[in-house]
Order: sequence, then structure tokens, then C-alpha cells
Amino acid sequence: MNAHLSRRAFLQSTGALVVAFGAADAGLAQAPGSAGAPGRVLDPARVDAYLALHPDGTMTIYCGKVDLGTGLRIAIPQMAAEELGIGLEKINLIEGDTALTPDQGTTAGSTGIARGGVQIRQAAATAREALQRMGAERLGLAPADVVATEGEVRPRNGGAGIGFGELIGDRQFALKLDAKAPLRNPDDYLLVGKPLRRPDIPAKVTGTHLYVHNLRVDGMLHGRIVRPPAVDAKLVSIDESSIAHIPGVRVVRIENFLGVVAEDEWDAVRASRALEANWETRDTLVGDEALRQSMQAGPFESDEVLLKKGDARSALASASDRLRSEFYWPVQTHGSMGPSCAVADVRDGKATIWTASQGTHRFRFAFAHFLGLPEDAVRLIYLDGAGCYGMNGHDDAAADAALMSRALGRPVRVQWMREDEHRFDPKGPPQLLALEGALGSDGKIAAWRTEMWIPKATASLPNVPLLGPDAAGAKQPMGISTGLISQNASPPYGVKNVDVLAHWLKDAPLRPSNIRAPGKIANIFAVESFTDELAAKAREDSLAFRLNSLEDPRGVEVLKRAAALLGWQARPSPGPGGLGRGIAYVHYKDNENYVAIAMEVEVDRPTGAIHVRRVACAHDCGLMINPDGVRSQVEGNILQTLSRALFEEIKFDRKGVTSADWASYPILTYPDVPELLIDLVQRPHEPPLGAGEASAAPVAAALANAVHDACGIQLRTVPFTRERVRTALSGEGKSG
Amino acid sequence: MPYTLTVNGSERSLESRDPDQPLLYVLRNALGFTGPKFGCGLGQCGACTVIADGSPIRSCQLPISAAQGMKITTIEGLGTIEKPHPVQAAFIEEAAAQCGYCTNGMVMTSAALLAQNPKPSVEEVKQALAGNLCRCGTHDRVLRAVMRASGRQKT
Amino acid sequence: MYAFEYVRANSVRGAVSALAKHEDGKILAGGHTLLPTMKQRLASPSALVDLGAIKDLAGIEQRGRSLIIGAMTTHAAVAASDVVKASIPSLAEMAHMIGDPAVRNRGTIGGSIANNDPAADYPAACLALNATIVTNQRKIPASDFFKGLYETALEPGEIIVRVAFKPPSRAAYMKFRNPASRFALVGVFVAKKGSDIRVAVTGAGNQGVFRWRAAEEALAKRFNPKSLDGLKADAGMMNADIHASPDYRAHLVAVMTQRAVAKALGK
Repeated sequence: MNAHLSRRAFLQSTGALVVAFGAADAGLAQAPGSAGAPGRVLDPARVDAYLALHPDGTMTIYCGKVDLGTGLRIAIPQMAAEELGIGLEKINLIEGDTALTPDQGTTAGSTGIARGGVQIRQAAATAREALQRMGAERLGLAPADVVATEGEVRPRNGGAGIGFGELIGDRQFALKLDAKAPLRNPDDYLLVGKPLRRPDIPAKVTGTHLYVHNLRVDGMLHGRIVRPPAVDAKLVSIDESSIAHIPGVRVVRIENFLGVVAEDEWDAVRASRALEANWETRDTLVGDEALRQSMQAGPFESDEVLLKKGDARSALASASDRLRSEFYWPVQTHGSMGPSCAVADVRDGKATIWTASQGTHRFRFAFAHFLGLPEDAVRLIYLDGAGCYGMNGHDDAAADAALMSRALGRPVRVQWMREDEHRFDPKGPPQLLALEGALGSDGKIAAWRTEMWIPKATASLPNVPLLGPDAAGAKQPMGISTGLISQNASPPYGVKNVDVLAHWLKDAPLRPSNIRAPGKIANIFAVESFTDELAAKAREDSLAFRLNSLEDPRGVEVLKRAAALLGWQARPSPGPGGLGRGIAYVHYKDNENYVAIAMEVEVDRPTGAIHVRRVACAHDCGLMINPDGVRSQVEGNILQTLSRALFEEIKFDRKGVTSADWASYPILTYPDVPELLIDLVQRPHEPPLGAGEASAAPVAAALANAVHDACGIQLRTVPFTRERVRTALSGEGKSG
Repeated sequence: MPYTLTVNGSERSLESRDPDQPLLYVLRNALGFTGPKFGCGLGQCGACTVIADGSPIRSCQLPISAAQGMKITTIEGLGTIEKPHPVQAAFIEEAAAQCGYCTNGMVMTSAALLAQNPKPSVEEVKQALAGNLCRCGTHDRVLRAVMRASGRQKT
Repeated sequence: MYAFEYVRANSVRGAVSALAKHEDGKILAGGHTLLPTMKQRLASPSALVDLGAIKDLAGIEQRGRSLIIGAMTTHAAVAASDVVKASIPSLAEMAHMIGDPAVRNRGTIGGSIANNDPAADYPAACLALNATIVTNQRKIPASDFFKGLYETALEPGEIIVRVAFKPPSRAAYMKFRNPASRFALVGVFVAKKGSDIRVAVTGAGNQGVFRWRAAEEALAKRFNPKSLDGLKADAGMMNADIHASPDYRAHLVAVMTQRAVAKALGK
């Protein structure tokens, strides 16, 4: 991979990039505002939108999806190179630039490979057909008698070929994407399925990788936002004499939007802290302690029947012995390690914004709207940020920078401070579920009801309100984007009578947004914990209880493999004490990945501390493009979700977030890291699915089930803090 | 006020209006070493870690005035893509990064640990890295990388 | 932040005179507590006097029966010191439990004690080991030194020079950490020297570090974890915050004390 040609690799040779306008690199230094670079085709229905083959035989892939540390940067080239028949070293990848890449939708919902990659693969297949036609003609052969391989079209029976570059010359493909262009047989794959190395790792490990945080643009000012002490606060007055001792600082005030800029970053930080501002605040929030109660009170947008099978109500009513449990998942932050950052240059009727957004195309509309510019005058360019797992503060920081740049007529870099991120990033929403179930005389689940109280996602509107424009009184299309949070709320165990009902809340506190595996982690926590409660009631081993009723062979396989990895011993729960083990399963979104997670824990009864010893995961996401990329995502899902389940809850009072740093919002640390056992199922003839979300879903349930097995308490409220566990243990029989 | 710092083996002179300006800002801006990252500014996350006189320190907590006279090494001074430090080589081998924002701290803390304790146990590595936060969940790979760099295998 | 003067002192006398010039001056030792506090505007001294350049304030030595630790000695130095390990091993272990390597490399015993953070570890060690805090003016027994949250017996212009410990016959520190900050949610240092038994608790009390007398009396009868069975700390004395309730802290004080006694006995 050393010869991997990429704009990024070039840029990475200096981690701190200084952009001088007029410099040669078209990707970054193009005049702001052009809708598309000259000659760039952006129509997602065209091959040229994705692929540009150059006369020298190299190729550029234009990818609307972006690499968020997730490995797309190798996986997408693997897919395209495989399909086209070209070496990876010839490929250059450009990601998420609205002027250069087609709109492939946001990089969310674990769709990078499954949709973005598959689209590009189809473009490559279409391109290969075209190249084979051109090559066959030049070679005087029938298209069936040539092959595309190693960047050449060659006679199938041997002999000299013609390079792709020579065939295409300086032309474009000028083809529609052919959905029927034949794909290579997976049995012949040379690149796909191999754990090839990610090209960005060496630079990340030597401190030279380019992040948006490192970008420095000519004439750029450093900005910091002065956030109000409460959400929805009004700015009454400011006293600029409070920062008179810091020379060269300028204040940007637009209605309730307040920021400072300076040539020197530390001066901007100091000024943002020293600036005296008077805010009128109101108590608008419910507060974390009252939130759970408030969710059942509304106001509601609507009720929605998500699933109705058989007659769950009558079956439950007639059952002699039914169970009912409530499960609660609190508000959580994305918790990106680097506070959000962006650089914007808004002047002369044009805007260029360098951002770590997961949706540069999607947000172009919003930015144009609040900046009052035509959409084709706005360009958003993706640069790496600190990992985000859904919409964090990146888009807000970009809007902050754009507002300040417009006000000052100079490029502005805005970086949030830690408290900005914890207090103001859009949050993973709270979820409350009530489950009812009963066993039949055969010991299987006979009836099941799920009721959930969740905030409505307004999928038709393009974004959650961005903080800066909102404070500045700028118009923007406002929605809520929580993701598909109502999925996976019913048991996958062939239950005949099932009701699933959602009570959609009009809103949730603290700008609800989508956070990794949106909703599914909490739903599976509830469904798979409750399945264990029913198994315990049946005095049945949890694994056997599931396998008795699960028919999908891919589901059965991951459950068996995960159990085998852990060395599962069949018995009903709770166990005799000591180590506890639990298992949980998901068929993600009921039609994607199959994942089972088995876990082993120890509970320190006197303190309530849960020590997770081993986590086993069996994972089937169809065709794996890059197994090490999949493994990396699975590891991350497990550890991050353990963190969310064990430690995390945003605390807030009636004015705003009170857990504004890592001490008050702890996350998993190294001493908490368990042994990970991961078994990846490769299915070359199945479609490739994403790996960024699914394995997060069963983690909390497997953990809760393992704790129940270890000490007999069923934890139904996240996070499983030591105090909560201790309280549950001291009132044993009751539960947490 | 003028200050002179010794960073990655060379002396660098610069101006700072504020004697309390954290070393991190000086490194990232005036000196152009953007390997150390701003993560929290509170000494809680470790993303800004550099090695000062052989020991890992939080550069977001060290005032520039106190940094004078110390020998500062940033991740750029530890090794390069062409000639990586053994810890960096092991991180590359284990692909021990996702977003990579925290990686600076992991690498620097691990390099300092191995300099003092070349054959740590996994438990010792976990304790040494206890103050370095990672959100992507690369912990297991980082542990494998540090053990690899020490010439051992994890588990 | 805001404007203040920075002074790098070369001697204790120089530091004292710098402090005398600034009514609201503060000492900067490792800077791990004061600087974040200042950034959050919880403290706003007019001057910072940095002791980092005063060489003779750092160091560890055994003088007769006393273990002497200079005020500017870092936690890492205490944790790694063979002198400390030979004299009071539990103190070296405690120092190793503070923060993480970066904190231990900058944080100092003097800074920790002078700040008297209610969740810091050293105050518990000093109180349990009956240390003597030596300043540029006098010697203060630990029992008179810690006066409440962030409050100590230090007078304006008074600077800690060193701390003297008398080795106990048995001692141990047990710490239940805040999962993120690694500060003590509850930390208990137990020390036995002849019939003198001290149980010092940090992290838990609403007035900072304190001695748990009821536990000391119970242990005086028999120095064994079982002597504490059924004994509960007073929840009314406990701190309540985002990390834990008073009841839970009171419960943890008992658990950690029993564990510290067991550890002191080598169990």
C-alpha cells in the first residue's frame, strides 16, 4: 500500500495543512462557491460521478460517503478495484466534497459499504463493461473474448493487452450507471475479503494525519463561541471592557449568537472566558431526574402500531402468569474525543466550509438557507474530525464558523471547548419501554407486547436546528433526526401473538439526534433482557430458550458460535454465584446483520462494581469486504456500548447540561477493558452489509443478563452504575 | 514575552503574551506540531500528551513558562512514517486507531512506559493508559500493539 | 482566563517575598489542580508563584526513624522510591494509585496537601500516618493541618517545605475510584503503630478528609476486618454530588476500611 496514490496521502505529509488560495491542489484550493469543479459530473445516476480514469492509467474514486475512522478509505477502493480489475496502488479516493463527489446520502446508519460501496461497485462494473467493449474493438475480438485485469483489457486466451488509460484517453465514460452490469463472481475475488491495511493509519500514528482541527487557511482567524449558561437564553448585554486586556480580539454578536475571534488561538480562548455577558435565562427543561416520568405524560405527536400479529392482548389477559417490566435508556452524548471544529470562508457571495460532517451534501441546503446564498454557491468539504457516532457537534461548529466568517469577511476557524461539546452536542434521546409477556404450556413465549415512549424523528426535514443560526435568528429548516429508533422492538423468536406500539413524543430535551445504532441498543436491551426474564421463569437455559424458537439458520449459527467462544454451560439463570454469563441476539433491523454476544462478568457485591471479564461476539454481515475493518468496528461497538451501559448518563437541570466534562460524564477506561473474542462469519455470496452499528445492539442486554446470572438482580435502568447495582443488591428480589 | 523551548531536539524561540498559555497551543500553532491534540483542556483525556524530560505530561496543563528548560518530545519527534518508533510501528502493525484523534496520547504514554518498563504486563499497560480516553473503542488493539512493541503477545 | 502575574521563584525566600507582594497570590507546584480550577474561574489569584525551579524542595530521604519527603517531590518519584518502599510501602502504593502517569509526573506532595482537595489521596495518608508538615515557619501535625474543604492551617506567605512521616507497623490504603477522574470516591488509609490506630477517610466527607473514630475504637480492641462488621459510617457526614449519594458513600467507607485492614494484615 505504500504507493497508494491519494490526495490525502499527499496532504498527510504535513499534518498541519496551510491552504494558500491559488495553490495547485484543486481539491482544497478551488475558488470557493463553484457547484462542481469543471467537468465534474455529480449526477448519482452517471458512472462519471464516481469514477475518473486518467490517461496515465490511474483512477480517482469520488465517494459521497466518508471515512469516519471506519475503514471506508480502504474498503471502497477494494470494491472498486476488484470490480474494475485495477491495482489498488493506482487509486486515489476523494470523499464528501460537495463540489467533487455525488450525493450518496449521509454517512449514517451503517450504509457506507452497503449503499455507498455497492453503488460505486456497480459504477465500476458498468465501467468495466465499457472498457472491455473498447478493448475488444481495438484488439479485434468479441467482448466475450477479453478480460479486464491489472488495469488492462487482455485477450482471454493470453497475449498483450491495452491499458485502461490508453483506452479511455482524456474522455469520460459518459454512461448511465447500469444496475444490471454483471458483477464478478465472488469466488474469483483477489482483493475483496482480504484484511488490507487502512492507508490512514501510519499518519494517524505518527501525528501527521490531516484533521479539520489542523487546517490553517491564509488570513484565518481563530474563533470561540461564548455559549449561554442555559438553553434558549437571551443575550441582554455584553461588557467589552472585560476583554480590553487581550489586544486584537473582536466580538461577533448576532442577536443571541456570541463569539470572539483573534489572530492567536489562545487569545481567543482567553477572551471567550473573560468576556462578561448578561443572559436572560429561563427554566425550560424537565431535568434528568424527572425525565423518565415526564415521558409517559407527553405531549405526544401520535401513537403508531408498529407490529400486530395474532391477538396479544387477549393472550396476555388469559395467561395465568404474565410478566411486565420497564426498561429505560437515558440521554447520552456522542462524546467525541475532540471537540467539534470547522473552518469557513464566506465572502463575495460564496461559501467554502471545511467540516467533519457526516452529511456535507445534506447540510449544503441548510447552510445555503441560513447564509442566504444560492445552494450552488456553497461548498462543503469533508476533512477528518474526531470520531462521531451520529450527528455530534461538527455541523454546529461549521455553522458557527460560517456565521462568524460572513460577519468578518475573513476565514474563521472555530473549535469548541470540552464543555461546549458535552453541553451542546445534539444528544442520543431517552427511551422508555414497557414489555409484557407470557409463556405458553410448551414453555415458549406465547404472547408479547411492547410499548415504547420515544421522541419523534421528523425524517422529512433536513436537519436538527443548528445552534448558531438558531441563536442568530437565521431561518433554517428545523427537524429532529433521531434515526430509525423504533426498530428491533419485538422478539425474533416466532411468537404468535405480538403487539408493538410506539407513543411518539413531540420532542425530547437537549436537541435529540441520531447516535450509533439509533434506538436499537435500547430496544434490544429491553427485548433481550425480557427474553431472559421469561427464560428464567421457564427455568430454562437462556441459550436453549432462544434456540428452541429461532428458525433463521444464520441467527442460529451466530448464537451457537458466540456461546461456543465463551464456553457456554447450559443451566437456568441465576447461576450459583461467582462468574455470571449472559447472551443476547439481534437480527439487525430485522433484515440486516446477525449478531450474538455472550459475556462473562463478576459482580463485587459489597460495592456494586461490575467487572466484565470476557465478551464473545459472533457476527454475520454477509460479504465482508475487509475483515479487519469489520473486526475493528465490532470491537468498537462492543467497548463503546459497554461504556454507555455501565457509565453514561447526561445530567441536566432545568437550564442545561450539568455533566460537562469527563469527570462528571465518565466513560470506559483501560482498566475496564475485557478480553474480546470475535468470530466473523464470511458469506461471499451474500450482499455486503455495514458493520458500524449492528454489534452494538446486543451489548447492554448481554451485560444485564450476565449480571442477573451472577447475582440475581435484573438491571433495567441504564447506566448500571455501581451505586445502582449496590442498591439493587441490598434490596434483593427488587431490581434496578 | 519571549520564550525559548526545546522541542524534538531543537531550540525554538517564540513570543507569548500570556505566561500561562498552555504548551499545547504553542506546539499546535506557533511551532506547527499538530500531532498533540486538544481534547479537553482539563487534563482528563490525554489527547495532548507529550514527553517532557522522559515522562509523559499533559501539554494542555503545562504553562509555557514552566515548559522552558524541559526537553519536550512530541509524536512527530518520536518517529516518522518512514522511520517509526517501535511503539508506532506496532500501532501500525495492529491497525490500532479508528478516528485516531486520541492516538497521540496512547502512543506517547506507551512509549514513555516502555522506556521505563520494557516488559510490562497487560495489567501494567492498562494502568499506565488509565488516564487516556478513547471513544471509538480501540483499546484492545492498543493493548495488543503495546505488548507487541514490548516483544510479547497479548494473552 | 484573566490577567495575573507569573513569578518563577528560585528559592523559598524568593517565593515568600513574591507572595508578600501579591495579596491574592497562589503557589503553583505541579499545577494539576490549580490551573483547571483557574480555567473554570473557581480561583482567580493575582499572581502565580511557580516553585518548580527550587531544586532543594524535591527529594526523599530516611533520617533516623523519619521518612522525609520534599514538598516538590512528584507522586511518580514517591511511587518509585526504594527509600519509601522500604520505609512505608503503603505510601508508595498510594502514590502509585494517584491519577495516571502524566498526573503523577507533575503532581507533588506539597501541592496536594496545600490544596486539600476533598477527594485527594495524600491528606488521608498524612492524617493516618500522623505526618508532620514542615513549612518555612513551623512544624504542623497533620491532625491540626487539614481544616475542611480546601482549607488548611497554612497562613499567608507560608510555604510547605517538606513532610515527615514516622513508619507504622502496619498500614494500607484502599481506594474506590471515580471511574473517570481516578480521584477517590472513597479512599481509606489505615495505619497501626503499636496501640495507636488511625483510620483516615478521603473522598467521602462533606468537610474533606476525616478520621473515622468509631472504626479506630473497634480496631483497637482487635485489629481485624471482622471487628468492623456491622459498623456504618454516618451518612450525615458524607458528601453528596453527581458521583454518589451520601448513603452509598457511607456504605463504601465501611467496605473500604475493612478491605484496608485486611490488606494491612497481608490478607
